[in-house]
This record gives sequence, structure tokens and C-alpha cells, in this order.
Amino acid sequence: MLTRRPLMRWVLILFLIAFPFIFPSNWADMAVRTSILVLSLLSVVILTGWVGQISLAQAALMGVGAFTAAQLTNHLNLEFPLHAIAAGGAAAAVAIFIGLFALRIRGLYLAIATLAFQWAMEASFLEWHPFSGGFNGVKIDPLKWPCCDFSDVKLLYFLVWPTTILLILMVANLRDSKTGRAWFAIRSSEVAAKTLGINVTNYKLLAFAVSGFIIGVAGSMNLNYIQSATPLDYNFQRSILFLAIAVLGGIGAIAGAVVGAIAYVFSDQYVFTLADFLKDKTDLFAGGLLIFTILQNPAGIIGVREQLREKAAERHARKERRGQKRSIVLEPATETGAALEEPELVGASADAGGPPPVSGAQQDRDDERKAASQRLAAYTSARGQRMERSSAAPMLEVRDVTIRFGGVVANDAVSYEVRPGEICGLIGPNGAGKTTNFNCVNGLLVPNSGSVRFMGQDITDKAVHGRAKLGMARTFQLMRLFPRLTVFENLMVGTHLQNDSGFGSNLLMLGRTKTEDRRNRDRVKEVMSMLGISEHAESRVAGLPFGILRLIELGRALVTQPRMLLLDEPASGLDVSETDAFAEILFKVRDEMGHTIFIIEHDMRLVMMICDYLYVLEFGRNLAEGFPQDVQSNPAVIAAYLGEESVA
Amino acid sequence: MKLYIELFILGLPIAGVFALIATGVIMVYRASKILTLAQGAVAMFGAYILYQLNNDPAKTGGKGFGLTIFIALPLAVVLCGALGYAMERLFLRPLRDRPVLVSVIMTVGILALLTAIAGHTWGYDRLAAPKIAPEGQVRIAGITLGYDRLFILGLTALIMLAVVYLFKYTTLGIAMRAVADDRRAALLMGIPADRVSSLTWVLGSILAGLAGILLSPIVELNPIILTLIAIPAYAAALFGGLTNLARMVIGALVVGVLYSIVPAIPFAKNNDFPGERELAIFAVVIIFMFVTGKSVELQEEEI
Repeated sequence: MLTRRPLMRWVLILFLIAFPFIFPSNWADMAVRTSILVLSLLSVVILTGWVGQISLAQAALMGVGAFTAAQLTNHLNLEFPLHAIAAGGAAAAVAIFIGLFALRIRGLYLAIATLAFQWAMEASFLEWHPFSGGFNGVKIDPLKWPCCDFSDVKLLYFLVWPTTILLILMVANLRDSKTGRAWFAIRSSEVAAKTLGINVTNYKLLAFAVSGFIIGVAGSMNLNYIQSATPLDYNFQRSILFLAIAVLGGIGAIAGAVVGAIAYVFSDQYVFTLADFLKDKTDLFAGGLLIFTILQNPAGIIGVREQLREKAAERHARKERRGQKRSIVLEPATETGAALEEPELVGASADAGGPPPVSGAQQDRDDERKAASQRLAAYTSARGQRMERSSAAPMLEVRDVTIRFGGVVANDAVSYEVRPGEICGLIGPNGAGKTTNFNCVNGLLVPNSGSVRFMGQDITDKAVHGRAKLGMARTFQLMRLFPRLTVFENLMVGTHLQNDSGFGSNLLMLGRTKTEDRRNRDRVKEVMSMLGISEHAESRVAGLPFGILRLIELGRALVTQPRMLLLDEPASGLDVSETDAFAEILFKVRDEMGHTIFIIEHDMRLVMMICDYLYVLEFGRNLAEGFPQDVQSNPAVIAAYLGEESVA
Repeated sequence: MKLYIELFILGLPIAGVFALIATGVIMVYRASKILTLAQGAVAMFGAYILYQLNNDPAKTGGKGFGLTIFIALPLAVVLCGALGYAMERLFLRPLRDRPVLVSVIMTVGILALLTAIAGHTWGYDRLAAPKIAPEGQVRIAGITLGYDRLFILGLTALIMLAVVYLFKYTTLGIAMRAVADDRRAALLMGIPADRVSSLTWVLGSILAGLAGILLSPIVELNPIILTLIAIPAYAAALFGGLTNLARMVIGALVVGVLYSIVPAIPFAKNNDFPGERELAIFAVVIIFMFVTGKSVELQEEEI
């Protein structure tokens, strides 16, 4: 994590070892303070930057760690490495307690809950003498080992920095594993995360636990540094300060925590002592700089370099683009990322007649298009002769599903079944209740009555991620991609269920995690090349053309290796040639990869082209079912949906 | 028992003040979907503005312009409104197209800035807050009540009625609700959505400032304590799902009365139970969340 170049890594390690010997001892002191702050900010980065949960109670958690460590030292004689783990554990437990409420609620409410918690803990610390020693706090003796006396900051330095670096490395491992991907997914869209099989509850709690543990350890380190813990050290202002410095440094990245901490400690020591009017004004500047950072550069200090690089790249790209008429404009976005930013997912619109997503020279494209439409016609005519459904037991069985929203009956005793190997369609006029029904199949809604069976199991009450585990994947009409991640990373999130390695393995990046990771990468690359989106692998999703976005979402669903794909209006927003390309891919998905497909679609041309069997809904009720050509000529359907004239 | 009844009644004006703060939170949330965490800081700042305008250094020491309360109070209210306008205009409007989380963190920044400014200008020591209510007390049915509490109760009730009237029956109120429901549609109907949302910040800040002015003689004039006193008000706003005024008032009554009664409950009084008042309010926040959590979740991420 520290740096990718091995030489630089060694130089850095040597520098860190030599640091207390090269520089005056007040620098070692600053370094110790920095390391404590780095861990504090890291806990904010994880929780707010990566999982999108605002916590204003980080100082209270740090206090829990510090007081726990202090009591353990004084009563049980438990010293640094051991009491740090206990302190981390205690803070993690409290953090999970807060996190439990975050499950019910979303970001905004959590801010209130953590604010109230910080307030309550502050009052408790002041009055709860046995734990916190009241206003004057708890004192401990300086840490002493037979070999060394840690009241010397130069020695303490060799205790706190290795701890900090160890924790940073482990957090970096988590970030690069399925855990980190799950966190990023939750930050952008909990619903999408669930449909990919991520247990949102567990991963949110995990984030709280990890963040709590880290700040608890920071608390114990702070205790050993100042040899006391008082309630005033862990007050509300401190919580705000952590958030402010983390945003200032760059809340989306570990480097942001490091840079923020260094900048703060350095300026606290030197800049704010320069003149009288600056004295003790760090709080004023922290508030002001937080506001300034959000307005000017949400990626924080570490984002500055990226911003400059992007500007240069943009200039370069503009030069290259000259002469070319059309081009795909990639929205500038940063790796370290304006972590708070969630760019809007509006694809650059692909106007009718524009190039299909798979690029190539114009001539090739025309040929390709012709060939594609011929192949499509072949598929469709082959299907046309098939006039009976497979006799296999249904894969998905929906029985009498009724869903009410208040007084509105969105689904009224809807029933249908999807057989394995089919491309089955659900159609109906706007407002017929198709998407509502889909949400029910998928688990986002629980029906008021009726049942849903999948693979022979009753899944009516099963959680969304549990259904994903059984082999159900879906896409959304209004796409739910993770706009801050690259195309490749978006698909990697889809591999979540293909990992068996546990938290410990992720934390330490054991061989197992690495092997899985390699396998998943290959799988993602395979799917990307099948869909023809490999060239966009490293592009950020925000700003890509609509047609590509549809393919990415399909790809993300495919890498979960589902038994059944639920597609919610996948062709809306696509032009004719894109739709044809999409149809061909769907045939491939079914015939070569063997996934059953269940699709809601408005584009009747596509439906008639690809579907083996159709169900029609109207006003939340079953209207008709049958093979496409029958449905097409069914008078009731024509009246309800297709209008007076039949569709060409 | 009499003690509890007395404390219950004493809790009502506090509930009223919480309701004022929460109304501002709800207004802003409805118009711009932003949960402002700075509301407590604005309340605190309002109290200090009045202190600055009203305090006479010649008599009581400290800073101040020594204006009479009849000039100082309206002026303080106007200044609170200006503060709200400035916050929206300078800090929040530029963030409109960014995620809500960013705006919420921005309000934390505003909170940090306001408390720091107040701390550096007026210090962290407790100051004597200007009293705007008449002195003296009255005995009703054997219970002694200060005029100040009655005054607060009456004033907050009046203000709340005015707010409800504004929301329900005026064009402005309807415009506010329209902007809250669908900003784009409201714009198409010719509603100046920008001006409407700025106005909610102005009104919200005035309410918060008034609340701070009313609370500071009861609690104390200190930048942090007065800022954090808004937390029970957030609990009340939460109970109203950040949108519903009537439910919010019920929530405010619960927290206001609790705030007043909890410290007198025997096990709390013996100091066996640390931070009883704050912990009780925290518990209420949690309970309120479980009561209202679900409905809001669906609002925020529609499936």
C-alpha cells in the first residue's frame, strides 16, 4: 500500500526507522501524535468515505478505548499491546451497537443518532467515576518494559508507528478484497449491493466494527502518549475535528488520512504558533477549511495532484480529439476520488443511428450489423417453429401474488411460471405492475399474499441477498451501477458470491484470497470480452454511453453466475442497432452460458424477437399468456396494450 | 408526586423551544432534502447575538453594545435570518447538484465554524444571558410557575400556530411544499424554487435563533452546551420523520418533559446513573428511529 515501487518502499521504511534519530525529539513527539491521528482519521475514512455512514461519535469511541485501556492498566496490569487490543474490542463493540441502529436507518438519521450518542457519552464520562474517573480522568504510569522506558517519545515512536502501519496494511488488504468492494457497493446503492448477494447488514456492521476497533486502538495509544485520559480529550469538538481533517486530507483514501494527519500536526506545531492572532485558532481554521474543501475540492489535499493530472490529461485529450467528430467523453473522476461524490448516472445519450457500442471502422460496422440482423432472424425463425414449452419443472413459480400500496392494488393474484432454459417475457401497458412484481420476485418487496418459489424452494420471505445466493440476478430499469467505480470494478463486485475466503483471510491477504481474486479477475475479463466492453474496463462508469451502461449492468449480473437473469426493461434508452446487439447477446447468454432469462420489456420488436413465452399483465392482473405469435394476435392483448393495429 | 407534576409542567416550555428548533430542521429538510446539523449552532449564535446587542459593558462587564431589549431583540432576529440566508447562499446552494451527504457534512462544517467563532469572540465561560421574559412567578393550583416559563410557552405556541398557518394556508407555504415534493415540477409551474429554499433557511434560522434566545437563560450561555442542546430537538424532528409537524410536536413534548423530569428520578438523583438526562434522550432517539425508520428508508431509495 505504502508505495508500489519496491525501492521506494525500502527507502520509506529506512526513513521511518531513522526518523527519531535524525530529527530533534520534538519531531518524534509530533510523529507520535501524527500516528494517533492517522488511525483516528482512518476510522472516519472507512466509515464515512467508504461506506457512506456519517458518524459524529468517533471521539466518544476513542474515549471508550482510552478509558478501557486505562482501567485495564490500573486494575489488571494489562499493558500496551494487550490493552490496545482490548480497547479496540471495547470500542468495536460499542460501534456495533451504534451500527445496529444504522441498519434500520439511512445515513441522515445516523448522523443524529451518533450526535446524540456522543453527547450522552460525554455526559457519562464526566459522571461515571468508576470508568472514567470523572472530570479529572484517569492517570496511568508510563509504560515500562524491562528493556525500555516508553516515557521517552523516541521509544514510544517505535511502538505506535509499527502498530499504525500494521493496521493501515490490513485495512488496505480489506479494501482490495471482496469486503472493500462490498463496502463501496453499499455506499453507492444498497439495493444493487443486495441483488449481487451482498449481505448489507453484515457488511455495514463489519465496517462499524473495523472502524471502532481502529479508533479504540488509537485511544489506547493516546493514553500511553499522554499517560492519562480525561473526558475533555474525547468531546464533541474532537469528533468534528476528525471529520474535518479527514475531509481536508481526502476522505476517500487511506493516503488522505495520512496526509491530513501530517498536515494537521505540523500546522498545529508550527503554523499556528507563528503569530499571536493565530494562537489556539485551530478549531476556527478546521471549520473554515472543511467548508472550503467541500466547496473547492471535495477530494481533499490528496485530490489536488489527481486534479492537476486530470487537467493535463484533459488538455491532451482535447488536442487529440480535434478532427474527430464524435467521441465518448469520459467524465473526469479521480481514483482517490471525491469519495463523497456520487456522479449522476446519465449516459451520454446515444442518438439514433449512432455507432453501436462495439466500435470499429464504419464499413466493418455496417457489415457486422447486417450479419447480426441475419443471425437474429435465424434465431427468431428457429424459435418460431417451437410451439411447446419445455416440460421441465418450472424454475420460477409465482402464485397468486397480491401487492397493495395503501389503497392501490399493484398486483392482484398474479401467477406465472418460468421454465429452465427459456427466455420468458412479462409485458403489459404502463402501470400494469410489472416492475412491482419483479421487485417481489427479487425480494425487494414482500407480497401481501401469494407465494414465490424458485428452484423448488419457497422464497417468498427470503432476503434479497439470499435469493442472489440461490442464483437469481437482476438488472434495473433505472440502472443502479456504482458510478465511482470503473467498469472492471463494477463487475468485480458481482463476483462477491464466488468468494469463500473469510474476513481473516481478506485481512491478511492470504493465498486463498489471492487465488480467488485471480480467478474472479479472469472471469470478469471473460464476461467483458463476451459483451464487447473490454475497451472500457478502466473507465469510470459515470459518463459512458447508455448502451454501454446497459451492457455493464448485464455483465455485473452475469458474473454472479446466476441460474436466472431478471431483466427490467433492458432495451429502454437503446436505439435500434443497440437493441439488436443486445438481443444477440441475450441469445448467447441463454444458449452458450445456459442462463434462463426472465424479461420485462416495452420494446415489442425485441420481445417478439427473443421471447419463447409471454405473460401479459393489465391493471395488476393476468390478462393473457402464450407464445409470442399467439399473444400478438390475441384480441384482448391488442385492445389493452398494442392499440387498434397489431405491431409490425 | 407534586414534584413530578411540577417538573412536567416546567418541561412544557422546554418542549416548545425544542419544537421551534425542530420546525426549522423540518422546513429545511422539506424544501431541500438536507438534514441541517447546524441548527443547534444557529440557536447558540442567536443567543450570543442578542447578548452582544443587549449587554452593557458599563454595567455587567463583558462585550456588548448595550441596546435596549426592545431594539436588540428584533435586530437579533433579523440578524439570525441574515445568517440563515448567508449559509444557504454561500455554502449550500453551490452543493445543490452534489449528493446529500456532502451537504450534510457541509452543515457540520458550519457548526464547527460557528461554535469556533462564538468561542473565540465571547469565550467558553458561562455568561449571563439577557432575559427577555418578565420576572416573577405565579401560583396555580399549588404549583409555582415562573412568568418566564409561561411567556416561553405562550410565545412558542403562537409561533407554532403561525408556522402551521404559513404552511397550510398561504401561497408561500404551498410553494414550499411543492418545491419539497418535486423541485423541477415546481420550477415549471413558475415557482422560484431558489428563493423558496433560501426562505426556508431564513425562517429556520430565525426559529432556531429565537429558540436559543429563549433557552439561554434557562440552560446557560456557552458555545458548546447551547449548541448541543439542540439534540433533543433533532429527536423530535426525527419522530416527525423530518417532515411531519404534528408528529414532531408530540416528539418534542416527550423529549421536553423527559429533559425536565429525568434528573429528578431517584436512581438518577443518587448519581448512580451517569449522564442520565443525555442517555435518556439518546434512548429516545433510538426508539424514535425504530418507530419512523422504515418509512424514511423507502423514501430515500425507491425501488
